[in-house]
Amino acid sequence: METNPQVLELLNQNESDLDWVKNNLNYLQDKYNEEFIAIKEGKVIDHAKLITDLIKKVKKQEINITDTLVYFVSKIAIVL
Amino acid sequence: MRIPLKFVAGQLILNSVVTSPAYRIGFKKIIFVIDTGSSRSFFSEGEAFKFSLPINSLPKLENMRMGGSPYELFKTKGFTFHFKIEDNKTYSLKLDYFAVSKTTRKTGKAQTESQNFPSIIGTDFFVQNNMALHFNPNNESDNYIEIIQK
Repeated sequence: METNPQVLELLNQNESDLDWVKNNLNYLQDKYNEEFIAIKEGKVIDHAKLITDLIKKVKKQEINITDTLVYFVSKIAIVL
Repeated sequence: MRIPLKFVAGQLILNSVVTSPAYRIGFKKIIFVIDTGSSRSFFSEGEAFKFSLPINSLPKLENMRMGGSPYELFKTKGFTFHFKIEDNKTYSLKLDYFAVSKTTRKTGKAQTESQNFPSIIGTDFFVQNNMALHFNPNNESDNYIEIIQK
């Protein structure tokens, strides 16, 4: 099994950003409740109520949305 | 082989990178919510927007209900899923197709909810790919998917 260094780098970035979300959840819930946030390297790049709007806002910054971690922040428990 | 999972805000999260030459998607980040209450795995409608998938021209797979609401699943072309495993290595899983969910309701509220829904890994993913789920909410390092060697 070969390990692709590019894939590993992206997975590590996502992992770090997920850890950042977990460690800053209370702050994020206070600031971005009921919003999608796009995170890159431990920073919130942009936020929006709708994912379609977030895609547009991130694109305006010349960042590809798929290069970020997109997470929906909610104070309300999410039950699927 | 084990794929570690994150436990964030009460949800089990699978970290992944996907590729699909059919849609010219190269190495894109995505997270899935693990939902053992779901018998189907799929990209959410919002994810389809992120990847610019041509959701309206995809063939229909089947109907389903989610949270009591009616949805349709559409069949995509092939995707390869890449996961991190032990010892800083990666594991790739090539699937002939995957699914995208979309609400059948026409109201703006229903469509917004559909777009805002997370992408899901359901029980079908574990069955079809010979995987097992280990979940311990009290110890994060003890949450993982085990790839069972054939």
